[in-house]
Amino acid sequence: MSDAELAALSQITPSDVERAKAAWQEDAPAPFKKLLDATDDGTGA
Amino acid sequence: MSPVQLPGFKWNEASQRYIGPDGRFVSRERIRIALDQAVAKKTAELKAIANQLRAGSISLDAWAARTRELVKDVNLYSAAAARGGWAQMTQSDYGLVGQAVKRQYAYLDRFAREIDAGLPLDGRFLARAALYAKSGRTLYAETVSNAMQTAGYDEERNRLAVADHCDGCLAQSARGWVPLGALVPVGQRTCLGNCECYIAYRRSSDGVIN
Repeated sequence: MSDAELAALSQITPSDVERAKAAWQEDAPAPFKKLLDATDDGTGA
Repeated sequence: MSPVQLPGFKWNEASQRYIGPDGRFVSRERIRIALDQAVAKKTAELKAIANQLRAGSISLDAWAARTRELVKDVNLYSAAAARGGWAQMTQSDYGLVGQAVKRQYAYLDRFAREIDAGLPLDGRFLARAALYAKSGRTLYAETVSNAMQTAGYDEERNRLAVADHCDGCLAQSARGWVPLGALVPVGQRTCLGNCECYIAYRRSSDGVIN
């Protein structure tokens, strides 16, 4: 991680992430409300 | 009896694409359209609170605070959409979101100072206030580009969507395939955050296009 990224990381708190998750649930079209809950399919990179 | 667990979305890191509940890949264009619909809702929210400021029902500080929250929300979920969902977000990804949010906050602080100094709260004010949601689309494009580079893609090409195009987007499309990072990024052309273009990626070693 670059120094700039590291410094900017402090902008984002866990409660910000929780609020953004709730915002996606409200804003996303119905078929995609669960999109960001996706799990890795396990096939690797 | 326990409720039936419906299959959800999966993320395939190698192709940098989602797999839908039906087991099929979901095109990046479809994801972008879904994100655009979400961003449109945030745009409407920003307009609504800007109208509240205009009507005098909230203070300048309250408007700025709520706008900051909405900007952070939209940038966070845009990055997560690009990276394959919340579970795939790394500290580095959150760092990039932090940088993007910080940039937007700097623009917003300047905007608030202009309002405080007497900027008319007219139609142009409303349009400018609403534009902050579109920063999410710019970050989405940037995050996808970074992830594609990590996945081994080294060339890119601009693809025009069905929309009106600015001269900048037409010029980028005319360049054809170029090294990844050579195109003027989505969000930094004449049309700014209104850009509807897509980027296609190609791996020069085997010609795979994604």
